Amino acid sequence: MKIPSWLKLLPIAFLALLIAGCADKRPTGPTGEGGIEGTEGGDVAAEDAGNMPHAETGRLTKVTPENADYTKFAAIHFDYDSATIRSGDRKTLEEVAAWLKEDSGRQVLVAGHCDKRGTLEYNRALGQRRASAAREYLIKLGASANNVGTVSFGEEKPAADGDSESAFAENRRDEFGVAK
Amino acid sequence: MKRFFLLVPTLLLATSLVSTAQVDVVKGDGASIRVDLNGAAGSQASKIIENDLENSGYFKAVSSGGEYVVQGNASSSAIQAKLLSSDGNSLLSPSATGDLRRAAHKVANEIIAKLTGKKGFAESRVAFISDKSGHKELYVMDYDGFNILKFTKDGSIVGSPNFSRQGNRIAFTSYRSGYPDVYTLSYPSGGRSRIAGFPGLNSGAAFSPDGSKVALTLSKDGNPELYVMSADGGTPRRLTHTRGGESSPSWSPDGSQIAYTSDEGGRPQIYTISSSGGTGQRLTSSPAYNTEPDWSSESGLIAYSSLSGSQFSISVIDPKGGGGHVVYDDGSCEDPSWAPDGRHLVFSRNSGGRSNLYILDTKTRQAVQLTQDFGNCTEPSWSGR
Repeated sequence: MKIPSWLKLLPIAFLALLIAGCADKRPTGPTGEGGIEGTEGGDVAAEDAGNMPHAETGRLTKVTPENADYTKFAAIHFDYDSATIRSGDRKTLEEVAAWLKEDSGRQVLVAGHCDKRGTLEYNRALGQRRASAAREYLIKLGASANNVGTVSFGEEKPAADGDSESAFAENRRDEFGVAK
Repeated sequence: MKRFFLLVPTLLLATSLVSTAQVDVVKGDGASIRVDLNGAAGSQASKIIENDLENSGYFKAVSSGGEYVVQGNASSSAIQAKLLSSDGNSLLSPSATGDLRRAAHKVANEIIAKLTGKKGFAESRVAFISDKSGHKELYVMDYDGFNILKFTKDGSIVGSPNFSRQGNRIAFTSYRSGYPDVYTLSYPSGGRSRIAGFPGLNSGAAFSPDGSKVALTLSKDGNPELYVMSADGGTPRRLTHTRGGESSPSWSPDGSQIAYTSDEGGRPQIYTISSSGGTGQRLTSSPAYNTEPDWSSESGLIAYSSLSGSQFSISVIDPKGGGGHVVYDDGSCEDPSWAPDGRHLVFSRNSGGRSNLYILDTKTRQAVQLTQDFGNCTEPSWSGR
């Protein structure tokens, strides 16, 4: 009874398929980066077959963190220690994506921010996860990866002062910067 | 007065921590030592050396008697000392020239090494961030709080400094370009270069034990992950592949492992990974939020920030096993960095909305304040020697 060597790989291939299948459903997870709360298994999640985030190959040419106008679009907000995009913020992201797709020369810089309750370096990474999550969402909605950049300010640039829960909630955000 | 940790005791008296800041309490079973230098700078040099000896945790300075006696001469530019046992035997003849504080620290370290066989930290320095100027900038001071020097004038945000173990370079993050990039500077000359300016986040660089490489966080591949690259820049090699974010790498004493923070399991915890790659191993599991590990090259212990209730404490874990335990939890304390002796830690403590640096003896659990009225002081990194 000699088993052909390629057959031995079948269970591994099956496992790989299983994992890939699970990965496709990931966006409903509560803590996964780039996850999208309440996605109904539809358009947005299914398009991202590999689930690999899109690398940034260069910094934006038309928008920089300092010259950006962050007022054109509303900010989106996050739960404590989370980079999961809220379902209620999808509309804002759709607006940003639509604006980008209108003109391939447009660029958006996503700036991720945190409340001050975390430690400084962890918050730099968390702010980046928030920015990267929105960037992935915009790309899934059809924006060109080359036209969406990211920057994390960690907890360094709060939108609201103070130690109230409402101030913290306001500070856990992504802002969308466009050329002035 | 001379028994205070700092030579600015009036500042310490202003805080509620003063009760623990006095070093009149004998640290452990420390031997008593009397420092009695003559000469133009004799009294000043004696105070600096006494401070260093007490801060080491091994000695109690006394003004008469003493199991050991340090005698000799000190001028503003040279110290010639002699270490004697109580029966008058000469044990060591330390001497040093140059700046008085540096010379005194050198003499103290020689005495500590002779009597304890341990590496002292009297000559060490601490790099840290202060917003005193209105912007977060990089500063370096002697470990005892003297000689604070400013090393950046970026006018943006500087953070995450890391002193090389050789003490000749500091890596840090600066938003000078608008984005968070990683720079290194030569210490003490200050010559600087950008070693990582990839799209997205570049931060948290930590030197390998030999100083040739850095581990750092980059998000260029779409998510914050750990990478290793030459300390002079170049092509980064990716270490982690997770859906969470990885940050705050710190190398093991032999450089074979890297401790870091990851929230791939939901909340941030401390992990270790081989510095050549592989799969991260989770080291902590409680409390729910542990960040900013610092791996001592001397003791092999890892210190980190851990959330207790709504405040951060300083915790220590032996990566060989045994679980983590809190070593200091008065106020909200973050970002510990080991002294070269593997026993003392420097960290930032927020009290009343102000952050200052403190030094903790992990053996006696006594903490003393290091900075005062210097803006908010955060993210300290102790030099390796």
